[in-house]
Amino acid sequence: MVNINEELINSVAPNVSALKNALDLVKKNSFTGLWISEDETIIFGECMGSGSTNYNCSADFIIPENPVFRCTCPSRQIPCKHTLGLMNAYVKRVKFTTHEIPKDIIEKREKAERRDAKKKEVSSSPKKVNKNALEKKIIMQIEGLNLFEKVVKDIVKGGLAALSGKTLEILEEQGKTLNSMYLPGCQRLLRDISIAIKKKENKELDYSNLLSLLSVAHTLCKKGREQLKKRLQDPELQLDKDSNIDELIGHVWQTSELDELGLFETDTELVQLFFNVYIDKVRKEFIDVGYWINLKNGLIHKTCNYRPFRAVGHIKEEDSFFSAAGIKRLYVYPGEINKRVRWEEFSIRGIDNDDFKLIISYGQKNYIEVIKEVKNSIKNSLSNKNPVMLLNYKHIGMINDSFAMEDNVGKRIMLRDIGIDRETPSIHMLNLLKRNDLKDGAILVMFNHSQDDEKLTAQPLSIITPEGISRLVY
Amino acid sequence: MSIPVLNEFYDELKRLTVAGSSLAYDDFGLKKLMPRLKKLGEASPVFSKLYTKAEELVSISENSEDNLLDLLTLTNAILYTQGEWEMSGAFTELEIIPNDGTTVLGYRKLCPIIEALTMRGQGRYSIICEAYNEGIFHKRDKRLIYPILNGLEDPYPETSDFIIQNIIPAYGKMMLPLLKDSFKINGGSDDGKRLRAIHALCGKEEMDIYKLAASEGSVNVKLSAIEILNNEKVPNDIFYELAKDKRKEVREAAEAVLESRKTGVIDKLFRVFRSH
Repeated sequence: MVNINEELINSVAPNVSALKNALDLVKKNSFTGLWISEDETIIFGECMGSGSTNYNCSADFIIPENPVFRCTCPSRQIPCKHTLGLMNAYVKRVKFTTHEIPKDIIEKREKAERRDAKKKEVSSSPKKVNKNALEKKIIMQIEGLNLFEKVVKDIVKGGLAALSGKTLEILEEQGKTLNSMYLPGCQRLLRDISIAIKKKENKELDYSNLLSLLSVAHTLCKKGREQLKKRLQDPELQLDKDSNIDELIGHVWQTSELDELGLFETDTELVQLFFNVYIDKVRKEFIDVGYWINLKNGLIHKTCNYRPFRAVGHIKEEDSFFSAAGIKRLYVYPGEINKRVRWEEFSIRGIDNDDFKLIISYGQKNYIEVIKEVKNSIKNSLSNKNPVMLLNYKHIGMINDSFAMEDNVGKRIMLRDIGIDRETPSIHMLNLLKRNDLKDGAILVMFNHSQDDEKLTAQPLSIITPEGISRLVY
Repeated sequence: MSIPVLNEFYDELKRLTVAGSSLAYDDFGLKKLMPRLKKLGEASPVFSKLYTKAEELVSISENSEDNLLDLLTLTNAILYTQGEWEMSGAFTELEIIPNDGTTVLGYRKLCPIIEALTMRGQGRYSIICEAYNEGIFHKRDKRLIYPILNGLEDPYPETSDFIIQNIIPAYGKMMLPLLKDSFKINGGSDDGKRLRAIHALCGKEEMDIYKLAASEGSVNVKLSAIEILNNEKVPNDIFYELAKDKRKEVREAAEAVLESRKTGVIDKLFRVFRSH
C-alpha cells in the first residue's frame, strides 16, 4: 500500500535542491502521466526532462518499510528529483490513474526478490572468516599501536615547546603509516594532534587541548593494545561488544557483525528529539547527528552520518525527523551513554499526546543520580565528554543571573550554552517558551564540564510537554 | 577542597609536558606539592595512586614520559569528577516573551535561512525572498525570531526592507516586545530600521513612539520617524518643527515632506512667521 507523506519525502531526499527541483516539476506540470497500480503498491509516472525522451520514474511500496525508487534519468541521486516530484504530486493529491504495472518493473521486482532471497541465504549461513589473515591484521594493529605510542611518548619526552615544523612533517608521515596498519582511528587522532600543534604555533590556543589529546592517545594505545591482545587469545577473534574501543582504533562496524554479536533490538520505535550538522574541518567532513529516544525502553540513542567534503554530492544529507520511526531491526553499536544506532528499513507514524506523555515518563527524576552517571562517564578519557540525557524538571527558572532547572527534591542544575564553537546556542530560546512549558516537563540536555570554571552544566536542546516537543536547536 | 591542590598539580604537569618529561626528575615545583598530595592520598585511594605516581615521576629518571602521561590522564579524570554543579539561591521565574510561535521547521529549511539572516555571504537576499515565497516565515518558527531581528542590521538595504515589509508582518505582534526592547532612540541606522519595523507591525497604534523619536531621536532615528509620520499623514506642525532641526539631513527631510505636501504660500508665510 502506497503510504507517502511529506516526512517520508523529506527523509529520503538526498538534499534540499533535489526537493526544491522536485516541487518545481510538479508546479510546472512536467509530468505527462501519473499512474497507480490496482493493488496500490506502486506509483509511477512519465516526466519531461532535458533528454529527447521522457523519463519513467516510480516509487515502489511493495515492501512498505523499504520503498524502492527507480528512474530512467541519468542522475546518480536516488531518489532523483523526478521520483521525488512523483511522490510530491501524490501527496498534493494530483490525480493518479489506475494502470497496469509496466513489464520492466515487474521484472525488476522479481530480480530484487531473487537477490533478497540469496542475501538471506548468505546471511543465515555462518560467515567464513579467514582467521589467519585476521590474526595477521591484529598483530599488525598491535605493532601500529606501539608505533603510535612511541610517537606520543617522544612528543612528551622532548616537550611541546620543542616541537617544530619538521615534527609536523614526521607526524603526517607516521599518520599514513598508521592508516596502512589498519588504525584509521589513530591516524585521525594523530592528525588532531598535528592541528593542535599548528594552532599552538599560531599562538591561538593554550596547551590544554593538546594535553587532553595526548592523554586520549595514551589511553587509546594502552586500552587498544589490551583489547587486541584479548582478541588474539580468543579462538573466534571476536570484537568487543561491551565497549567502543574497536571503533575508536578504527574499526567500522558492519551490520552483519552487529547481527552476529546480537547487538540489535527488534520491533522498536524511535522519536528524534534533536538534530544538528557539525563541520569537522580537521577531518574534512560533515557529520549529521541525531539524538533519538527509544519508545520501548527510554534510552537516548545517537545516529551519525559522515559526509566527507569530497563526496558530499553523493551521500544523502540527513534532516530533522518529526515522526516516530518504526524499526524492525535496530542495530546498536557498543558503547556507554548514547549508544550509536542505525537501521536499514523503517516505517513512519505520526506522533501524538500519548507519545509525548510516554517520553516524559522516561525522563530521569533524581539529579544526584544523573550527575553521578554523567561524571562516571566523562571521567573516562576515551568517552564522549558531552553526554545527552532526558531529565524531568519541576521548574525552569533563574537563580541570580543564571538559567536553572530544579527537580522534585529541590536539586538544581545550571543551564547554559556549551559554546558557539561546539554547539549551536539555545539558551536564549528558553525565554520564548510558554509559561506552562516551564513546569513539570522533560528536557533533553547536553552536559558539559567546563575546564575554565570547573562547572558541570547542561545545555537545553528540546523541551517535551504533554502538548508536544519544542526543539530549541534543530 | 581538593580542587585547588589538584589544579596546582595539573598546572605543574602541564608545565612539565611543555618543557619535556625528561626534566621531571627531582623537579622542585612538583616536590613542593608532594606533602599536600600525600595528605590527600590518606583520604582516598585515588589520590593515593596519584601521589605514588607523582613520587615515581620525581624520583626515577627512567620512563618519565609514561609516568607523566599516566598522571595527566589520572588528574584529568579526577578533575572531571570534581565539577561543581549544585546551585543555591532563590529560584525566580523566567521572564517570558509572549509569543505564539512554533518549532515545526527542520534543519534543512532553517539552517540556510538562519545563515542568510545572520551572516554576510553572497546570495543571502534571494535565499530570504525564496523562503518567504515558499511560506516558510508564515509557519512562525520561534528559532527564526532572533535571526530576523539580526537581519534588520544587514547592510544591504534591500534585505532589511524586505524583512520590515514582509517577514516581520508575517510573524505579527509577537515581534513587538523584542523590537521595542532592542530599539534605542539615540541609536544608529539599525534603530531607524527597528522603528520602521514597529510601524510595519502597529501602524498608528504606536504614534507616541514615532513622535518621541522625531523630537528626541538621533539623526537616523529622526529620518525614519519623518518617513513614518509622513506616511501616517500627520499634520504639518511637526514637520515645521523638524525643518528647524540643527542637523541638515533632518531639516532637508522635513522640507521634502512639506514640499511633497505642496504647502501653499500662506502656509510658508506662516512658517516664517512662526520661526521668528
